[in-house]
Amino acid sequence: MNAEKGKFLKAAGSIWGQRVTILVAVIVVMAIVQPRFFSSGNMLSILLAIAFYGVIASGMLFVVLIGGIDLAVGSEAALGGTIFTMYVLAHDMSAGTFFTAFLLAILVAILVGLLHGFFDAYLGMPSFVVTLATQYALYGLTQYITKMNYLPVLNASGLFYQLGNGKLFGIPSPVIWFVILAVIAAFVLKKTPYGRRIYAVGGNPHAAELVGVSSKFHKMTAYIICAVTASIAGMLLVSMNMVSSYKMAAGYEGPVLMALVIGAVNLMGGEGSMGGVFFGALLVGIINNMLILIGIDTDYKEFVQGCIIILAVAINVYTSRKSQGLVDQKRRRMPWLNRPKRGAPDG
Amino acid sequence: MAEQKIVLRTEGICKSFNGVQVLKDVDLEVLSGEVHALMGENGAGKSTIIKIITGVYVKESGQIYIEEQPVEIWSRQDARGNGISVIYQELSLVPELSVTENIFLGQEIMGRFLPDRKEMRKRVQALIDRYEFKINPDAIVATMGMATRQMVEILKALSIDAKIIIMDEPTSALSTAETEKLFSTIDTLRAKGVSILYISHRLEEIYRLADRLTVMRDGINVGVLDHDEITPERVTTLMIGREVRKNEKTHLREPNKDHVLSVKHLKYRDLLSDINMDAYGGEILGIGGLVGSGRTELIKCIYGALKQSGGEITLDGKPVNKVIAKNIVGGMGLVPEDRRTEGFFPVLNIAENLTVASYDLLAKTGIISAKNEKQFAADAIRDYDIRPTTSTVPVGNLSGGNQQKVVLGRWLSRKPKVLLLDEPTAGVDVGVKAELYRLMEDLAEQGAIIIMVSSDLEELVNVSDRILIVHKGRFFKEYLYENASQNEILLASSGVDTGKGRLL
Repeated sequence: MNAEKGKFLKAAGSIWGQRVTILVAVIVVMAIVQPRFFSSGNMLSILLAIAFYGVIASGMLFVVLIGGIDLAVGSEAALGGTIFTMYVLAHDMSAGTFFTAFLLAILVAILVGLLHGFFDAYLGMPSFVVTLATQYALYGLTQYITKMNYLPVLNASGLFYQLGNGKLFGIPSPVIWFVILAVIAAFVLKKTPYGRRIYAVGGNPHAAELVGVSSKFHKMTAYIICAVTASIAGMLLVSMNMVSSYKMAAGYEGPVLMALVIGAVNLMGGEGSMGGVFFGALLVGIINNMLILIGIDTDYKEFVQGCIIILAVAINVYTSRKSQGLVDQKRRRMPWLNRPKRGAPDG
Repeated sequence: MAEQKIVLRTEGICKSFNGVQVLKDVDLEVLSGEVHALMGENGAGKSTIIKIITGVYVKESGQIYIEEQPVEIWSRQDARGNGISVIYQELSLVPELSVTENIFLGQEIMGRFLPDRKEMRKRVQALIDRYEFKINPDAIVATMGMATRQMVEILKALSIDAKIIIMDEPTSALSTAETEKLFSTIDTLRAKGVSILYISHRLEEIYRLADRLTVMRDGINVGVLDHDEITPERVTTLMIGREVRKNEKTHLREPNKDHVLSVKHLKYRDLLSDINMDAYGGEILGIGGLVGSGRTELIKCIYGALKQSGGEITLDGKPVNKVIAKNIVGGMGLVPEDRRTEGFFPVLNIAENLTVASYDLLAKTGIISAKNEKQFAADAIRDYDIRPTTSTVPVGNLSGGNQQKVVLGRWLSRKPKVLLLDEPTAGVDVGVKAELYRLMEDLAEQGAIIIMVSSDLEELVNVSDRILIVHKGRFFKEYLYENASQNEILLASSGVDTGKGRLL
């Protein structure tokens, strides 16, 4: 028993050991290359960037764990933020209006999640295609309802203002939202039957059905959770910037997926933890910031981001295949490996 | 019959895997224009010899002759080059293409720049005419039934001048009408002088088709029968050999008639009809029959994984739920046939795999108790001797036997009232088999109802207290432990009544 515990701690220690080492290394490099990195203003902007990606990643984790993907998170954030803003603009800055607007945006997110879940779980459509399509549809819808305009909120005050700009012990509200959502996600996934069943559905949907776990239910709810967190991120964004635009979270799916992949979430489903995603979001935030600080132009920045995604996915796929012991599967998929060797013993 | 040449002959073929010899000096002989059947129990070496002839495996020693010329077969290409074609169970046709396009796929006849479609069509038509197939060369494969697709596969083989066509369980995916269609195709081929090596475990098919039959047992060719010598009794005796009952049961359990799972007039699509049975507490009820006879569907209907088309299932007088989750809480469990696709979760660890069906016990407050979960997994690993003993290892990394212990242990730890097992020891080594049997017997001793579907005759005969045989979608025979033998069960599975056992 003791040996087992020791081994386990060693394994857990080593993965976090690696992660901390990487973080420290990146920060040290930053400190040497660009001392401005440690300015309080820069720290704050890193934290905020991480917070927005992180809020969405906490929900996206559920979708990726059940073996899906949600590419529409940027448009879900835009739609949620826009509905929230329009409702507030049409009424007032009272707390009552704020809560109604907030719930309205969440409700729309639930509908979007239901739609995604239906297409995946009931029609068996690949989530990649479904959410790519809804991404366009939702951007279009957001443009349509805003008549393609930016919606500035000139008289922002009260809860609407506090949502994105408030601070608790000096920590900006979006960061607190991220921490709270991450803790809830980690708790649900680790400690509740629902969370464990999410892993089961992603790990093997047929086997899950045979132990009484409905893959349809868990897929539907995972997409809903993801859309809701994206919508929350959108509302945080409009509140902080005091302006809503359909482009405000465009391209967010990239860094969010990068955070998941760097956090060792298996894109085939069934494997990954909130702790890993937390680390991934941290690293993505710092790297993005680094690329800005070094002052390279935007085109090149995207090139580097792209390379990092490819590298992270390659490592992710390689390690997950190794952990599944899929050597045989590889042979099945690549039949030419089975060709008998010439010169084998012959009489 | 005209004078027949020997088309394919093997001499002294040997092969072993990991030090276990699976083929010992196998001689095989197929004549021109004959349908030569190959039979044997699972693991007798049928598929290994076929794979050697077709270049999938490499033989260790021995020689293959085609028309009495020694040939070397190192790859599938070599086999094809020597006129050996295989019709696979999963067909290798491209559904979106036409018959002609499929037949010439990868070996198109070229015109000046583009494939010469006219010429190819002409050749396919000539082939169709020659073998009197009823196929349109322009038809798209996707629109065809399975039997017709097989005919296209056969045409493809004939287009490269196959001397011998190997068919491995070709009827397993066919309906009765389609099977008859395939048989008449085979008759035509035989009349045209094409040799067929036909593998099947259905006696009636062998009797209908085969000119000669080779029987294999434990990697040895145990006998060749001519058509007139093929009788169910002779074939099964050859397949099973001298029967020794191993580890004879010392005491027979008395079934508890108060704890009963009852199935009445169960119907499932056109696979099962009017299935009636009672399974009692404290007994292991074996269910035998051929693969595809509906055994798996029967226990999946009981479990709620499939919707029955009619009939009723009751446990101790109360109807069994149609929802798996509720049946599990009510004390049921299922160990499915294919553990890799339906049984375990490869990326989840041992503890997670063991506890996945028991959150009702581990999370009474809605939150999983880490302590209880750890205890649950540790107890299971100890009680069922799962290796490695570290609960955090992903189950995908375990050996087949240990994976199966995890899948079985998942239910045993819940102390189930009804345990349904589908091929519980498939692909598991002998040592682990014995352990699994001991676990099943222990559970039976505790009074649970155990229903075990198995194709392993030895297992069926030695482990079951009572055996029901499914034939043509109905229960055909019932044997008690005392009067069950592998021979009997094999015959009953093919619908042969020897007078022993109880006819149902």
